[in-house]
Amino acid sequence: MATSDVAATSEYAAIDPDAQLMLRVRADDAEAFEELVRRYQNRLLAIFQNMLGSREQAEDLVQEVFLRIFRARQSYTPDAKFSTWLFTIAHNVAKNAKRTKARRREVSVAGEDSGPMSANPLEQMAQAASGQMPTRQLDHLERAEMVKLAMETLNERQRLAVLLSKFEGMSYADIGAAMGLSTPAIKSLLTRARSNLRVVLEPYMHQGSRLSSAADIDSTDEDP
Amino acid sequence: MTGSTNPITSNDQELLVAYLDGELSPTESAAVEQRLSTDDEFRKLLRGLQEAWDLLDDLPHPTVGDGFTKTTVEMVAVRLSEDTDRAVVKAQQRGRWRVIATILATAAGLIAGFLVMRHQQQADDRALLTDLPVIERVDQYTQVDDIQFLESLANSELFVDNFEVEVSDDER
Repeated sequence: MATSDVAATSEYAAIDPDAQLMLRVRADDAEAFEELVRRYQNRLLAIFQNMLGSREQAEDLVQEVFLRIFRARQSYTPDAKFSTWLFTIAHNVAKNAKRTKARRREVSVAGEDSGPMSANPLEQMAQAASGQMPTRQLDHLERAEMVKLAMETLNERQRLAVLLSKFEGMSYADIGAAMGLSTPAIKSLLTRARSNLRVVLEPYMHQGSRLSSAADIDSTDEDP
Repeated sequence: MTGSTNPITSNDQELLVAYLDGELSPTESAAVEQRLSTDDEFRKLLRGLQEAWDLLDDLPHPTVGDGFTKTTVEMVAVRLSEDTDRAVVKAQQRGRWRVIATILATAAGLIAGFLVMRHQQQADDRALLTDLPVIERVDQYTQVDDIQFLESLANSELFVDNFEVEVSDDER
């Protein structure tokens, strides 16, 4: 191991409390492992649920991440932030899950009823923004649902990069380390993702402001 | 505020996103802020990016149920114990295969040894059989000094009848 690597290892072991916990896990400390689970379970759940949409599957994947962490404990070295290592594992777990899901879908694609929200979300949003969607239907599309649909227009990598940036506040360098990409690649990935989100959500934002303006006018009219 | 408007490039978008994410150096940030103060389109783009980003706060932030931590730790313990059991079974299977392989190798060695020895023995027998006519007449041959003389006698065919008689007597 090079001198700089040794320095980085001891640096993270000294400043990152989660890395310290993981070193205790490496020494088979069950309490330290439980504490790590407690610290990261909700964060992982949020990432997986927003990535995959299913709560049940997200919980399974959270457990899978912790299982992998425990299995890999003997080979753990604190040469990066613990969270970066954890989200690298989470990224791999999500990729595998997606691959498995895609394989299953190939088999059972015929006759699947995806319900009233089955159309391309981008088209739905454009429809909503252009006023072609009935107001009653638009009323049912909550803001959260619109944002969720907007997220679905992003590809897998863009979505994960957005979630790690938004939810975890991770730097480009850390996101790159977790996703196995360079910092410039993450910069460009996030630029495309955020530009897409702006384009997709902009009609809704305008629609929202038009609706609220109309409501303001109505309420003003009603006011004495 | 009104100001100049310059066409927005993809580089501008990247610059603004990096600015919002706090990924620019102080000098780069200052340059962006300078342009924001004068460029309407640039400012509009920043607002759009920021508003869309803020809307992501409405994404679900789910939390796990009460027993999730305990279930996870228990699940990990169970799976690891299964891993250990599997490793033990594999080691046992490997051990069993090693014993079988040793037995088979020993048997193959024994069979090969037996075959080699038998071949050796048969080779000796074959040599004896080949030499049998000579052995049977070795007393006669020892009375003749010159083998060439015997060959010339055989080639002259003078004793063919006697020989045949003798042979047929032997057979009888």
